[in-house]
Amino acid sequence: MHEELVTELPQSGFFLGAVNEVGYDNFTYVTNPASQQPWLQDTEEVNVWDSWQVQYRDVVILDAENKKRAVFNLTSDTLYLENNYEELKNTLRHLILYNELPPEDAPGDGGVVSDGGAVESDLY
Amino acid sequence: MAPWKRTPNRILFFSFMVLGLSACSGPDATPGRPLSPKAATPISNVPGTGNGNPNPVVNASKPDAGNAQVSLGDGGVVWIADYDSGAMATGPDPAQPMPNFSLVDKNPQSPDLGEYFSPRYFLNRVSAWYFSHAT
Repeated sequence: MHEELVTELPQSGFFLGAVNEVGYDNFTYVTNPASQQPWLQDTEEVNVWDSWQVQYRDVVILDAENKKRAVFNLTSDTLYLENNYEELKNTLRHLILYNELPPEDAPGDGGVVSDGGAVESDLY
Repeated sequence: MAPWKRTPNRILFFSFMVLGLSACSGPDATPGRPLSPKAATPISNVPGTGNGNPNPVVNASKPDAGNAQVSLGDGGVVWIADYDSGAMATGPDPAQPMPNFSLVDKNPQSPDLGEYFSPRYFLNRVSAWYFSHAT
């Protein structure tokens, strides 16, 4: 999804990163070549998971002012389901283009065309 | 219903704080962080400390003097009520930038392995942060 958005909107500078929870820092088996985005290791001193009040597999979307605009949980809303994939992608795309969330009842708004390829690997 | 949660669904209830809502001291309240009347000041207008510390505490010098116990981190933390659960809880102030941090990239497949990243690097851009486990 990251590559798709960056390819589609190359000037956006859209960033996707992961934050690994304290105590789950075994990167030995991270071999998926699609997972090349930064994967940051949280620490007990910083404890982003606590200060941001997130849950496991949350995707927190920030706008250009670093304000939280939406949260998408990949456990409850897996990206293997095409509708969820398009919903998340369209949310990001709409925020990049218009600095606002898409209308709730118009998940396809913004001209997003389904590519039929729900790929979760670039979100680990 | 859209699968993602729109953060505006969370509404600030400062006026409830003024009335000393019983939930403030009830089981849903976070221990040691009681609400108080002073919390009714327009917190949304208070800027974050901006010092990069994700958990600074304001008013820590008067922990139980009946003064506001509102934690304002970089971006601000306020008492909020969630329409979905009806519970009172603390959380980042949605009107303020999220708390900042700086963490190192540990992904062995990343070209930026060993580099530090911070949300503030991505001001003026949309960013997404995925919270996961490397297992």
